[in-house]
Amino acid sequence: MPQGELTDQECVARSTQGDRNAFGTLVRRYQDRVYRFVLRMVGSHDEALELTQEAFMKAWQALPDWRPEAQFRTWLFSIASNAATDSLRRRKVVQFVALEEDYDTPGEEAGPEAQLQAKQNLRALQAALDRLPHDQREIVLLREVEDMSYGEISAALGISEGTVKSRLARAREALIGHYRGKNA
Amino acid sequence: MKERTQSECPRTEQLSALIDDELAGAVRAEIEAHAGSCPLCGAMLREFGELRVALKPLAAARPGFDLAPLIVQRLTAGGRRARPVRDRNWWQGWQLLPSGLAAAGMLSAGVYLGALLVGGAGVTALEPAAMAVFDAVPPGGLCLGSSSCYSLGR
Repeated sequence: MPQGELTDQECVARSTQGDRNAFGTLVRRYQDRVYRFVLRMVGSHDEALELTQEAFMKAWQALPDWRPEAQFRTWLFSIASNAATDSLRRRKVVQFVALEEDYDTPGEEAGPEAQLQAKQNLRALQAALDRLPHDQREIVLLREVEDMSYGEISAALGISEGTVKSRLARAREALIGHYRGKNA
Repeated sequence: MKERTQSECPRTEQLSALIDDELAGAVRAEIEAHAGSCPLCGAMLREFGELRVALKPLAAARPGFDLAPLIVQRLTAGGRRARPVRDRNWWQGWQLLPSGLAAAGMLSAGVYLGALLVGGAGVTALEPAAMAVFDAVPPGGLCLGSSSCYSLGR
């Protein structure tokens, strides 16, 4: 069976036995998601690339401790979240992302004005995100961008579903407040 | 089912959970009914929906190249750290028993032969006086009291 058709569980089982190609399959499967999550957390493309690699390296090292009942995706995101949090703690500064280069703007047919408006909106949104405390930012990203359920977020962050529910509501309120302030 | 009035607005987290489809059936229906008639909660629900739409483009960010070859290369160079494992299993432990017994036997024989050379067959215990050098007052030290020195006959 080609590596790409293996399930996460099968890839993890093979990786645990030392199959680097199976682990490469997992990297290909999740690199975009881990990268964009870390990017929105730390705000720097270069640092996000480095932290993404670091997260996968740590995952490889920790694979023997992985429990089959845990989803690989949520487990990987818990590692990525810790890597991003550690990085933010080390520098205690949040940088802003140059959004123009890394998101899909409306196509040519939308016209230059619409494209400019979309860019401005996203820039304001990223700035509003950056003003959130990191625990609120990560929970918004996991829910809204990674489309995780409360149960998955709970597993990824190691918090109860009740905490997910309340923290997410607070984060949304704060984000809307910051976004309104930027767009007013 | 009892509908909430505007003065009984649900907490924000209930509206947030509603948009995430994380409320159980009865509670969900109650919150939905309230939000449909309450301008404050209805507006908040719409804002949560608009925020979701606004955040979607953030999912488009990509690293720009495939990280897998790079990571696999680093794995090959670094490998995986060895997990702590027990050095020997029980069988390997039992295999050490004969050599252990032999070593213990040789040590006992050495002590016995040494005792024969020093004191003959009747090895006697050392007199307490011979051990006086090990008492609490070091040689040349001051006596704390006459009994601590003179009782030993100094």
